[in-house]
Amino acid sequence: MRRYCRLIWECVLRYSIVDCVTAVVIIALLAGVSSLICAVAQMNDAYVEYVRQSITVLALIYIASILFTSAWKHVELARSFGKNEVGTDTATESKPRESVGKESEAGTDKC
Amino acid sequence: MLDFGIDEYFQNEAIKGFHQVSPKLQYQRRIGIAHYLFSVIAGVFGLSVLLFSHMLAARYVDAASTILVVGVLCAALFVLLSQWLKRNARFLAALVIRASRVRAYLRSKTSFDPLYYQFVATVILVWLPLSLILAGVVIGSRGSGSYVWTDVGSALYARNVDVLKELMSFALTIGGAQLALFTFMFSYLLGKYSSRIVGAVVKHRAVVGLWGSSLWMFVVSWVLFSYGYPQLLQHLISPIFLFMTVVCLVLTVWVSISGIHPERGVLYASTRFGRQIRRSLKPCAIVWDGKPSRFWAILRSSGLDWRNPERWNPCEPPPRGLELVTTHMASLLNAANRAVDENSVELLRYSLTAILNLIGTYVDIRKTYFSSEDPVLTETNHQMAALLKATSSSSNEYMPTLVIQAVGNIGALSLKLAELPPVTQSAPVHLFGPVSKRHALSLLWAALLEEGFQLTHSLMRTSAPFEAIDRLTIMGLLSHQNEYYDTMATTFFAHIEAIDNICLSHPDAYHRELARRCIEGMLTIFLRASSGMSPWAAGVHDTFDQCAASIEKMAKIQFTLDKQAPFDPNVCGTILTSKSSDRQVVLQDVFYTTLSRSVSEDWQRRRTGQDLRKLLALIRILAEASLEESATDVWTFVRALYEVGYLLLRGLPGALLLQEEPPEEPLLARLPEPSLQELLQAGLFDVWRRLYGLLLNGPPTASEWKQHMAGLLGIGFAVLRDREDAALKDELVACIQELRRLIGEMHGKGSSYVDEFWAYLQLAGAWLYHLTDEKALAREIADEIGRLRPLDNLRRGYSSNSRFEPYGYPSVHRFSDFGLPRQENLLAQGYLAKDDISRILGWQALLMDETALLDYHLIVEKTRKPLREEFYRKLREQREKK
Repeated sequence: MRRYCRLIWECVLRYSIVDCVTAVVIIALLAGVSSLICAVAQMNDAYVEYVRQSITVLALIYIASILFTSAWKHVELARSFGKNEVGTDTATESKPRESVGKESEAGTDKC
Repeated sequence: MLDFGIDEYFQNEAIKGFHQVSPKLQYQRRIGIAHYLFSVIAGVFGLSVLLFSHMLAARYVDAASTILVVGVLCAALFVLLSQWLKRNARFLAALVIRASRVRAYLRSKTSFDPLYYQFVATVILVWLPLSLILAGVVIGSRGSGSYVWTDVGSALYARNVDVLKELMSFALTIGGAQLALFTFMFSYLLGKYSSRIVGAVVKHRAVVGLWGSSLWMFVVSWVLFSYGYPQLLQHLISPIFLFMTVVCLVLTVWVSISGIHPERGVLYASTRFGRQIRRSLKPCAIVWDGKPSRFWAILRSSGLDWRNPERWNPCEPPPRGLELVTTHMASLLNAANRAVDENSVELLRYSLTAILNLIGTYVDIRKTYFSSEDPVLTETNHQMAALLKATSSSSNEYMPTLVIQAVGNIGALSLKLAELPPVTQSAPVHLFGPVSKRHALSLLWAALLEEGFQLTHSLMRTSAPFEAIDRLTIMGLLSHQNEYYDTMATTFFAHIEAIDNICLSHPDAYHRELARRCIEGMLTIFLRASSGMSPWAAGVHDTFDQCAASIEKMAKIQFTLDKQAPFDPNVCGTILTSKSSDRQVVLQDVFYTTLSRSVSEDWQRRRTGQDLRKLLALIRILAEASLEESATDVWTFVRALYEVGYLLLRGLPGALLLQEEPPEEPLLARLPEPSLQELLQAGLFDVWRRLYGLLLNGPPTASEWKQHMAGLLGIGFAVLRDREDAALKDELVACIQELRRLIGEMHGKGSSYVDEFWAYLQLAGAWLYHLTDEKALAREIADEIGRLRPLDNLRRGYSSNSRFEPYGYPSVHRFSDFGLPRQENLLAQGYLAKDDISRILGWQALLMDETALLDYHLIVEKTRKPLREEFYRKLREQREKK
């Protein structure tokens, strides 16, 4: 169970947290820039409303996509973990540390 | 104790490790940037899709919900896809590769084209929008009705008619101003160098594009004025054309500012000339390597191959193309000469780069033809000689360096032009064996480099002489790479030797530094020559032998000077054998490279063995010559012998030790031959014996040689413990006998200098006693030491660091016990691995084993103790009598 939790952390949760932070930064950036443009161009209220709604929808889309990605990875991980548990392969004992979650490789997913 | 510099070893390892990791870190950094950049772009795109769908939904209220759903789905799909792709290593890698290619492309474009970005901006900001407007007008003209099209003469048309009239006149004014500005500016700046260069820059696509954009703006305005325009443009005409006008003005200013650099104009002209040369001078139509093109074969069979028949002559390119190259070259050389007159280093640098660019373009085409003569390169050589002469008399002494660099680069390019078609391995062997390759063209450039040296070595504020030597070295290396072995021996070596002679005839510090560079250059070529052997290369001269002969010749001359300046850092022995930096090549590097050759056949093994023996002989000859001239750095050759001796004694690479199986029915009965290891060991210890006698009887020199000589013997004994080798044992015994004979001779002459050597003989005897089965001989030596070693010497007291000196064993610098000297020139290069270090530490412990040394001391004392007691008894009696 402990090994499973470690795998969940290294392959799913850590990436999800990084994705969440990235999404928050991107949304904040987009919201800030579009608000600035609206203020400078003195757009009418209808356009401002469009921007606000679009930002909200985009944030929801990000949340949904992160949840979906995490769930997908979790399912894949559980499947491969089950296979390794049944068989004699002990690769999961030593390999995750080497092959999983290398932040230095720019977050490219090795799981 | 053994001071082996393990820290240095690990530092070197760490540096090497970083060099290996550094590209990976760089790559990961780029991947990281791509990862986050892609995320941001995905967010922007998603937001744009959502905003656009909102606007569409507001406009088409009936289908608003459908449009919104589709927009949200598109945005969601895109965000999800981006979430997946940004973690996909292959996608990111492809993205990074694409980005680096684009960056490299832009860099290559902008380095030779000063107006590249201006051209791109003109196309994107002026040509593209104007073309779109015109396309919109043409498409819109199909519509009918006042809500689609604004007809000429209508009320709506009247609102913009004045604007259009002004625009037309303004566009024509801008075009005229541009024409006057650019023509005047480029003629004024570049006309004094060459009118061809002016012509090339004035026809630059950015300049032509800007003229064209003014004209295009006029055409579009006139079309709108004459035929009307779509309703869509009703309110946009003024802002669009205002924007275009401003952009046009800004671009004109930008081109003018960028174009005021004549240097970059010259560089661009060379690119343009290169394009013209490529158009008029085509490669040879005969395909030498690979299969001919099917396309041309089909055309030829149909009688449609209309290529210039002169292209079928492989001995000479079409003369018309050659004329064009010569004409363009004259323009660039003119600019270079004017730069020298004006003392403008920057312009000279760019002019020479332009010349090199043009020659490079020409050589790429010319190399498909084969000839020993080339009118373009010959003419350029004459012109460069004149330029060199002009720069050497210039007040700015930096200029000749640039010209010599260019000469060296053109010389290197000339080596791409072959006199004969390439011989491939699949080609049948010639009746008389492989034909030696010549290269007459490179001789011109090598001679010019020597001439450059002669013109500049008396100048004190230039690095031109160094540059001349370096360029000759590079040309020599390329010549070896292209297998022009005879050319190397007769040209490059001769030139480097001649330069070395000039340097040595001016024995000041500056010229000694230049002489050092000559030897270093020769060693660099030697290193390359030692790295491989080509069975297809034929020549009267063997590069390896020629290098060795040239180094010997140069060193022998320099030894006479070294005697006069013994403390100069540029003494020959130090240059040849001691590394002052990791990059410096020394004889040990050459030995290691020869030893590490990739060998697979028997002739390669034999040849490698011969070359290794030649290197050992070279070290001996140089040491002997140094001793003859009483040079003080002879010990450095002994150190070199010790270091290469270690490489030999630790065991040859497996590939060298393999022996081919003899044929089943040999024509000649083969006698059992000694192995390569035995032959080389015999050569090594032969040098040891010869040098020991000379050093012992020669003039006083640094005492390090004794430790290194004993160290070599010690390594031999230690190796005997690890591996059964009767031949090695015989060599070691012969060395000890020789040492014994030499000491005996000196003792007979009553020399007091010999005392230290008794200590080394005792040490060697101890090794012989404990590490071999020659016990009787070791006892004989112990007896001799006991009898003959003087009891009254000038030594009083021993160092506290020395444990074995009181027992008659040698000390190093009167300070500590004997230890194996560290291989300073092998460590830095990484020729020694961790295993080597642990092995040497083990050998050190074995050779200086306390039990063994004290045991042998007792054997010596059996003879010595009664003699000593007798000696001191007599001494006391004499004192009492007094």
